[in-house]
Amino acid sequence: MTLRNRAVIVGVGESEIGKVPHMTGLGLNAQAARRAIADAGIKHTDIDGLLTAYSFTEPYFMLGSVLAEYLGIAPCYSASVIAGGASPTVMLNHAAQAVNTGQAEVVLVCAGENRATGMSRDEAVGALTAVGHPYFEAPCGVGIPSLYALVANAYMEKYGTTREQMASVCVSTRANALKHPNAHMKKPLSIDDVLNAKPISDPFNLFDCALISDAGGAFIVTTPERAADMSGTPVYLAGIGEAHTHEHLIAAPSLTDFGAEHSGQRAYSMAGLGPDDIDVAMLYDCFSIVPIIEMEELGLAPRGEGGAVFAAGDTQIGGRLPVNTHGGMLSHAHAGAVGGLMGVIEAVRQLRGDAGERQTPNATTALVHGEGGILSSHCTAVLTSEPR
Amino acid sequence: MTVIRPGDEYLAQPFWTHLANGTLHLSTCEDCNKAHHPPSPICPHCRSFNIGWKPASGKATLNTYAVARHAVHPLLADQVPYTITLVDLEEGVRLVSGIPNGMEVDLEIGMPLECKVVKIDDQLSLPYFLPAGAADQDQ
Repeated sequence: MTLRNRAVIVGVGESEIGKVPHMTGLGLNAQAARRAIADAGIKHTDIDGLLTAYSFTEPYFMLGSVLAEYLGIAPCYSASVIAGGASPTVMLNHAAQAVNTGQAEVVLVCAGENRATGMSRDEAVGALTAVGHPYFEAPCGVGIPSLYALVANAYMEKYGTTREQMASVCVSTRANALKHPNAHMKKPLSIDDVLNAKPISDPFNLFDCALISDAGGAFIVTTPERAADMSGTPVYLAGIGEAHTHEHLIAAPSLTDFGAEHSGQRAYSMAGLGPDDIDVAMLYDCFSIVPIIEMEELGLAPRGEGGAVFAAGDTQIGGRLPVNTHGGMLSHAHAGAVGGLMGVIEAVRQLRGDAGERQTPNATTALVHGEGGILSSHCTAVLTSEPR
Repeated sequence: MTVIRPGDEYLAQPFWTHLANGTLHLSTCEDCNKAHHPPSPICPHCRSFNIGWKPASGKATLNTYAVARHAVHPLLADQVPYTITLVDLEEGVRLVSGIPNGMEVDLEIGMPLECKVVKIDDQLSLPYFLPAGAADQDQ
């Protein structure tokens, strides 16, 4: 069964972002959920499905059930998805399946944590260290930045991506974030700022690494038929596909070819669309090399040429292929699984024509790519403003 | 030298025990004779549960490397900067390794490496991979 044109996102909401010490992590989820519910023009009692991800700061055993308690809802469909940064797009896939199999009619998808104020910076980074293999990677002092640095160096060697091109990813997303009223980062960033920042793990400096924010995000999935009764403007799921190739880098099939190519092909195939149809793209950007790799794997640029697209400024608002118009995880917000969820929210706003000064003119087709682990789990979604 | 000690796990114990005795062994299928890493109760090549341990040749190729400059864990604060390597072993498995602190080594992706087991303390030794010749250097 295809999901093409059979599920819509009808409401989106994001919480306060940045340092939000007066809110808990699940409080940020609840705030985003309330805003998404209002955006959809529904009542909280209309929600009969709930999908959540995970939390490092508030590691509840049954996170979704706790959020259901907060919101005063008793869904007939509830699950927590753990696919790292790919979780939000994977949850979109699950939600679309649920509303098409009668498991639920209206699914709330939520993620978010208070990583900036709910844990110390060292605790946050230490928790991320656990993503490496505890027996075979941790003793070598490998944290997430170094695991991605291993990928970056392999990719630069094979495809000729340059350090300056990676810095231009940070500059592009920052320029975009300055046009988003809720973005965590508020100051301009130059190539020199990136190249001269505190070194983290070669080739990455501080600004090549995603933010540590307090943030929550939510969106609401239903069927086109059910959305007809709701005031929120629906955005259609045209295609979606996943690829899960490994968890640990030591087990990755390759250091220079990843699953994004396959998840992308599955999504394009379902949608009956291709890379040339994409007006605006939300690419997972935990580190500056990653959107370059994804752009190439998803066919938005030939292999080895993604970096040049960023360096030319084509990915900035008003450019040939705007990427992460909200500012991405490098400049808008990153707090666990919600990082990639913000890409879904921004794609919906772009397709509705609601993106204000960030608006891509006449955007009808958007791509969202989520990636979790160390380029381990991939999920690509193609969204459209009208059924295709 | 301080390291983040590996977790104590049943499947992994022989890996560390062999290293503590000075040799690198790999989890290897007794049926298809192929190695895999990390150790697993089931062979990912032929799905056999008949798994044993065999010595590795120690020959490897440098897949990629990185230099960590920011300590991601308090235990590593006095280690930075340090080099992390990803090495492809002749047996077809990949290991995360590194260069021992204080050692000057010129690395180039694709270069051949040899295993050198370095004793950290009585319980723990780690497998490092160094260019031919460098493996004989005193640290």
